[in-house]
Amino acid sequence: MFDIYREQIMDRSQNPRFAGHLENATHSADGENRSCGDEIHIELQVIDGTIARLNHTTRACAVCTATADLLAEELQGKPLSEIETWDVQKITNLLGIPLSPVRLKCALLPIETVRAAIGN
Amino acid sequence: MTYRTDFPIFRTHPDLVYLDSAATSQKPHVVLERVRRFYESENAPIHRGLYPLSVSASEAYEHVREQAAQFIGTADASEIVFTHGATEGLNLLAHGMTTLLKPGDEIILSALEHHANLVPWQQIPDLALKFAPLNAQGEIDLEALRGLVSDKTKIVSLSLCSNVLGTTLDGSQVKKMLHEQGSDAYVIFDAAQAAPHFPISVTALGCDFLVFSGHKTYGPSGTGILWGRPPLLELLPPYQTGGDMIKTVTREHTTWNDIPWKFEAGTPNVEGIVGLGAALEYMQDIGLEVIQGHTEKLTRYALEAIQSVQQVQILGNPDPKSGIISFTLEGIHPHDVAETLGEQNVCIRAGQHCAAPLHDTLGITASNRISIGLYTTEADIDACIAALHKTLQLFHHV
Repeated sequence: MFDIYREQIMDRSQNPRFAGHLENATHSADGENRSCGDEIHIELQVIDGTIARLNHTTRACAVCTATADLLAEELQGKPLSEIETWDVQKITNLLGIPLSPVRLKCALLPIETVRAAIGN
Repeated sequence: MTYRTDFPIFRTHPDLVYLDSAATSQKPHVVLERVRRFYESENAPIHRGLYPLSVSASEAYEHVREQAAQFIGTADASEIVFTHGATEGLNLLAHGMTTLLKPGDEIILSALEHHANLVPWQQIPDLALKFAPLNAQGEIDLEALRGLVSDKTKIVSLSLCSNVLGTTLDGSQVKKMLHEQGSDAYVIFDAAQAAPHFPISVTALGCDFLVFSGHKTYGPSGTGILWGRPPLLELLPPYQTGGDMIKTVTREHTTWNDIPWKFEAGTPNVEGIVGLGAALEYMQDIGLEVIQGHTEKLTRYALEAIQSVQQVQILGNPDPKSGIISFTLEGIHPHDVAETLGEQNVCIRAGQHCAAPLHDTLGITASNRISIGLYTTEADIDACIAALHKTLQLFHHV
């Protein structure tokens, strides 16, 4: 029982390392899943094509919040081109758990919002 | 008295705790049997076959119109239009009533409406939407609504029971209040959450139109009822056109069938409607007052039980006859609550329940909802509360 709420997801959703407002952000975007009520604000500081820092502010479920936090850690220090490599499989691997179609929407919201921020 | 044994799904899943009846109800044996019997012994095209099988299929279908009329307190079956559900009923009205409106006309809705009673009205060009606020209990504030009425108010469309807050509206006051304001606006009631739980009489309500869904009243999915006053139904153009809704057709011109058939184009969901008839009969055999008593008893029990969970915040002040309680659990997102309860075999809803603007008004992104049906028992509520405590342990270690 509670497979989805393994230690990593509980830890990252309750004690996120990359949460809160980011000073000197160069890019930002809001994302939401209206039907389930996940809301996320992503801020990035991009220097010379490299993601120096990524922060998130979430009012979202554990899966969405933990994914945002793990993704922020993965993307820190990476070139912008790295963002495009984050497909469904890579997100699922990051979490290490199988996700139902409904929960997949929660897990994909952070990367979709990162893409929107870069697009802005 | 327990009705649980009437519902075969609980034989398949004996441990199922189903608290999502406001989304869709489980189906009693008599409904499943009726649909099966229709296919096994009565299936034929309706309204057009000249052979006995078709005649009896048509009679079975039309008989449900009489049952539905009786169910909502009217005698005339021609006032009953079969739809796919409350959503289609409201779309049919929004589509048809467009022809009765001129630019600048207004409709009054409320802050708690389901998307089905909001989005169709947004699609009408030049129709101004006004929203009656809620009082502190989460009920539609009728006095505030009075203040919104003007000579441009052409429609007032309200839910008799909120699908989120479980608050109810005394619909009989609406037309009265409009008359006091000198308004002859059309009144529509969305009875999707009311019809499963307490008696409805369109005569007592004094409204012009009313809709509800069959799948929430223990009938098959894809069925619903639209009731309208005959002169108004005559006034509305058809919603869809094609077979069965015509009187005469030439290459250039068509005349419409009589009401209610002019609103039912194509081969309808005959087996579904026949099943809905069995569902309405099932409810009437139990008695709507008895059903209301059951809902009230279980809702009161659930309210008391859930209020004992310290971290729970209940939304609004639910009317026990609604069978609906929505809440948030401190520090845990509703999605996580529903998922952890689901893993414990307890089915509840999470999200915005097709009422995003209401959640915006409440200042929350989502909520959880438990809702009660005829098969719900006190043991179901106890299981839900135990599961909530386990969820709290998981997230807060309490």
